[in-house]
Amino acid sequence: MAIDFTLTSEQKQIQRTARQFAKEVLEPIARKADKEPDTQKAFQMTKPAYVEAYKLGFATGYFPKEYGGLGLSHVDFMIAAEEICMADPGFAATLLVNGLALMPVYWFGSEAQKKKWMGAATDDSRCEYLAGWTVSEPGGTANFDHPGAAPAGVKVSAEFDAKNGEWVLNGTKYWPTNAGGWDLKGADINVVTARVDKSKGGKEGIGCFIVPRGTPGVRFNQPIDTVAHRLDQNNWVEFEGARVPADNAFAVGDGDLVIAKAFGWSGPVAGIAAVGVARAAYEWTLDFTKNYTGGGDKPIINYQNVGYMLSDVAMKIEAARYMCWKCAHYIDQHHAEAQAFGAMAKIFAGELMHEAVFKCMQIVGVNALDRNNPIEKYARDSMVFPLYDAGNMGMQRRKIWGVMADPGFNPRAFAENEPIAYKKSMGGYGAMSMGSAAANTR
Amino acid sequence: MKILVTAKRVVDPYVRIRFAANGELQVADLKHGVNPFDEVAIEEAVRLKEKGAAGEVIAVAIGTEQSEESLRAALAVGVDRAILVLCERNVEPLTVARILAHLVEREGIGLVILGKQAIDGDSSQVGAMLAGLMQWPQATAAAKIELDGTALRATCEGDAGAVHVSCELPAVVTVDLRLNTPRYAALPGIMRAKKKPVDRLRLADLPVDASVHSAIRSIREPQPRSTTCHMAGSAEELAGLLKQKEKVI
Repeated sequence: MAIDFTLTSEQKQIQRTARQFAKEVLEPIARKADKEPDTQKAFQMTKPAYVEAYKLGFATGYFPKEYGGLGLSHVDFMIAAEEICMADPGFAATLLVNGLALMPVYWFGSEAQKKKWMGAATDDSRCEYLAGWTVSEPGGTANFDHPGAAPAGVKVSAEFDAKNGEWVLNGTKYWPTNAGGWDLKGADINVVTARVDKSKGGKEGIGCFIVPRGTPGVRFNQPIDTVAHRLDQNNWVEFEGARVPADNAFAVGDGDLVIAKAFGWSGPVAGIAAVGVARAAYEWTLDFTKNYTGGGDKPIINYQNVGYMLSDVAMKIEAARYMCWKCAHYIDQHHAEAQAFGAMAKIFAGELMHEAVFKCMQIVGVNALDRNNPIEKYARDSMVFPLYDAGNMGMQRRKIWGVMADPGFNPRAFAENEPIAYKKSMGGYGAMSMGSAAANTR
Repeated sequence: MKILVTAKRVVDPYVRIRFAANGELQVADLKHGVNPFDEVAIEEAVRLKEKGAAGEVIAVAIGTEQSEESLRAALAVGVDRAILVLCERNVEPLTVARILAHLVEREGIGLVILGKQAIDGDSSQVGAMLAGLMQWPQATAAAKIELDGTALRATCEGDAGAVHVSCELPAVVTVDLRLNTPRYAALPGIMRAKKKPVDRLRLADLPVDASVHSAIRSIREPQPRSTTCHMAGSAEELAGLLKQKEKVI
């Protein structure tokens, strides 16, 4: 029996713990923090929930066992994430970003780096460890693999000071999650992408650098005031001559591969997060339609249009969930080499769930706009999924395109569970100059 | 000192149980979990162990292979090992008490903590029967437990007030929901539980009298009650209605 969607006994327990945590610990905090106007304060309000989540194993449990994790499968991770996102997807992003920052160390780092940095992440007696994934920049990063103007997208520079054996970082990052840490003095570490050669553009000359908290020359400004996912922290970070030892660098020259792999790995997690939010909206709306009459003589679920629309919502949610599960299973089977499939799960679920939540709003009507009802928050949060975690338009679709365009691409690979070897040539597909690059860029 | 706890597999309390067309209860495919009262018992036993008052906590479930799930849930929150007593049909409270008594002897148990009732049958008999079979002191529906060496003190809440029980171990304690709030099963615990031992025994192989003394003849769905009625009128009219029509005052 190969195709089997039954949850194992452990998965049922993980689901139960995540559900209890979401309902009893996170939800009461999430409602208040979402309404807090100061985004840093909102982020800090989530700390008690984060500490509890860390203790329960949600912050780093998906790390490999040999480096302090629990060795949970990506499918296990899906089950927990859906439940947590029922209460708040921004908080879940805080947890996920630990992985976006540190899984690249596992994939591309040295043995010593894995032991040191993943070990520290999984062995924090304070239970408040945070890792920042510090990629995006002001002016936009999606077209970083554009081979025209150099350096494009990733403009933060890392120059090697051979005399001291240190990399020196300069430049600005905008959007990175978790980067500022609980006190805006820095996450425990930031994994920063930077150009090691300013003369290079596109996929060339990008490396990753681990910048520990307390490194001089790093400034964390007030986080960005976002309309949704308000519980996570989106930062504005400035590097001015920040120095890290040579041992803190990895994937130098292959930063593009790190970005492609990391955002493939996170794709189904972002997808299932969207499912969690849509499910919360659907369950609330279903209940609403069984009680609300809209002034008529019977609850509105008895009207054909409402019934049909709810049917659409329910089927979309089911479809998106199983796509994400399948993608996570593929990630488990193929060493997280799911650059295209991860993008597919993220795009499909993120965009479909946004539609599903909007359908819920249409069913509920004007009451969906009342901030006393939770639908308005689901709507705001669901808008984020197509836009964040490597935007569906800017980055994720291009990744699928690049993989498909490769002459050796096997269109049956996903369905038949065969590996696809990701190559540098697949990145940045189509992100080329159209006429004069200089004339079309600002 | 070893503590024995129970982890009965029951239908999830939030699931709506339905009657099939043939009048039988349909529960096999429904979501199941550990009896909530047993969860409180398990939590208390684990806390006693964490405080150093107990050396080992053993959980037991009686039922089909599916009951292993309940035992794994107990192992995930800190129970050391588990025993699954396999039988194909539901056993009545006296048989359960006899099985537990056998395990108490076999394992050298000093304290049995179990839910004051299971939320499926609601018989509330096993704890008291076990104490009777063992000739041990018992505290039933405990809302507080203190253990000092072998001296046990329990506060048992009932409708008439609180009863304070003091006794020496070995003893049987049945617990109420007020005793504690069970912890969440942390993911490291869930993963560790996979490797903890679960011994399997077949009821038929045990020297336990499993004779049947009672049978369920039929189960019926309760008659639907009339719904709320809205009344407009004075307090006197309302009181009159409650007295004469509804006969509740």
